[in-house]
Amino acid sequence: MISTVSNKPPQSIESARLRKLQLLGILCGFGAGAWLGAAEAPTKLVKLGVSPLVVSLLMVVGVFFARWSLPALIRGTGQMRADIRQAPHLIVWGVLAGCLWAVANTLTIFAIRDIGLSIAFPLWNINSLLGIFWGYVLFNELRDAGKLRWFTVLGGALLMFTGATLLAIASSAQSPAAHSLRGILAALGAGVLWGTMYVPYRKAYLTGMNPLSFIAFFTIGELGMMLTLALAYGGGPAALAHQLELAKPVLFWLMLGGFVWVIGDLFQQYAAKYIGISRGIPLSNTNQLWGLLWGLLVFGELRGLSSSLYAEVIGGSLLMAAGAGAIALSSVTGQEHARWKQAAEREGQRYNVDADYVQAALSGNDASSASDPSGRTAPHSSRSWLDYLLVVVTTTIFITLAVLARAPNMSLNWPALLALAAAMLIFLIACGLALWRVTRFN
Amino acid sequence: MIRKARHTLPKVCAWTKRGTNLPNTKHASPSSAVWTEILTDLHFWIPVIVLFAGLVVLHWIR
Repeated sequence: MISTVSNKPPQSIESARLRKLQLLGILCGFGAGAWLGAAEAPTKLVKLGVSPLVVSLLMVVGVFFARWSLPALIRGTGQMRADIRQAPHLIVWGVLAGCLWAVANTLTIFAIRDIGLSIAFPLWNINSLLGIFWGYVLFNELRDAGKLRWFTVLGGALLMFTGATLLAIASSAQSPAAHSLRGILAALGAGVLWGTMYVPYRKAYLTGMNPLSFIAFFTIGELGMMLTLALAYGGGPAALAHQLELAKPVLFWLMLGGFVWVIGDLFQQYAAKYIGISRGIPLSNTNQLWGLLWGLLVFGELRGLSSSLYAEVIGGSLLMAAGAGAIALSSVTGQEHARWKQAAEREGQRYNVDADYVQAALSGNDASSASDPSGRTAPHSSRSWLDYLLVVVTTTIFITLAVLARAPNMSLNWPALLALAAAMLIFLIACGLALWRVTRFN
Repeated sequence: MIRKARHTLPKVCAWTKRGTNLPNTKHASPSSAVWTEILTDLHFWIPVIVLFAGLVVLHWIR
């Protein structure tokens, strides 16, 4: 247990522990891919006549409930308060990241409407390229990584770009020109926003923030921004209320989509924390393959197209996935990790964050047991009545909405849906157990 | 660098050091000093600019 505070630089994490954390980050990256891929499926309901802004808003409401209830359930809000006392600046970064997420998510709704899920998905996944760029420029990632790792990362990036180009060509052939341009722009815009959103993520994790604390503040930004967008573009409060009334039958499905997204995003946050954004984000972008599977198998997208277009879509997706895999599997060397620590020290000094706290959090240990500046010690995973209240209220809301929900009038392939849901469950259990064993969610 | 200045003036800026008996200046919300650090951090303005650009694109395509 760390009980003293100091300004000394973080000590190195022992290599065995580092390897374990990297494997954990890789597993979380794959888990994130499965869950993030599934979360976009409910947005197919856009075609049922619900406004894209309302779809996005309702997903964010689901996200909001999930982002407060899950941390309350896993660690308790007392731990969140302790984290924020150590690094209060991260409230601002969390809210900013949430705003970026909300705008990006809204853009994806428009992209799906105009060019379809299977095409839009890989296009906005260019965010991983941007993640690599920001990781290198701002946070010393890939510095001193050696030629082989640079080759792997750049080769992977090239593969991803080629794949995205193939998909863009396929989308042009599928949709009318005007819609296709708008859809491609929306998907690429979402990619840029999400790619930049990882700057606050990395900022937070370099200074030791626990993902479960970060996402709670993140969601304030996303709900605030989404509500503003819905009111501004939805015609005001009365029109928004009317739209929400129309969306009643699909309320549960959209909020469920948001909930699923949060689980995927949580795994993504752990991946970003333990293997960095330049590797963690491409890995979680395997969600494109899951999105493709949901689109093709469950929703029957791309039916009736020519075989050459099928080849372009599938080939493009596989190229992007191969590129992402190559990037992700270029492991972090000791020298590169030393550069990460320099970036962490820089952040710690700028924002006056305790070095022990940073070190404990980077190594997945109990960071909150480091005393805060006033000498108080954070409570140890004790849950208060507030935590139980958050969990009970969220559960009640979801059960109520599920009872009121109507199954969408769409043709779905149920066996495929169940198989994909089972795969998600396996990832949830595997990642959850691994996180508990290695870090106790610290 | 501003950061270095903090460490070269220990007597003037001693209150920023941890572990002293001086009053805790850290709270659960960002203070004005933290805001100053955020607003002078180049990293902060990159997401802010991208956010506004995204809003412009959204306004155009909706």
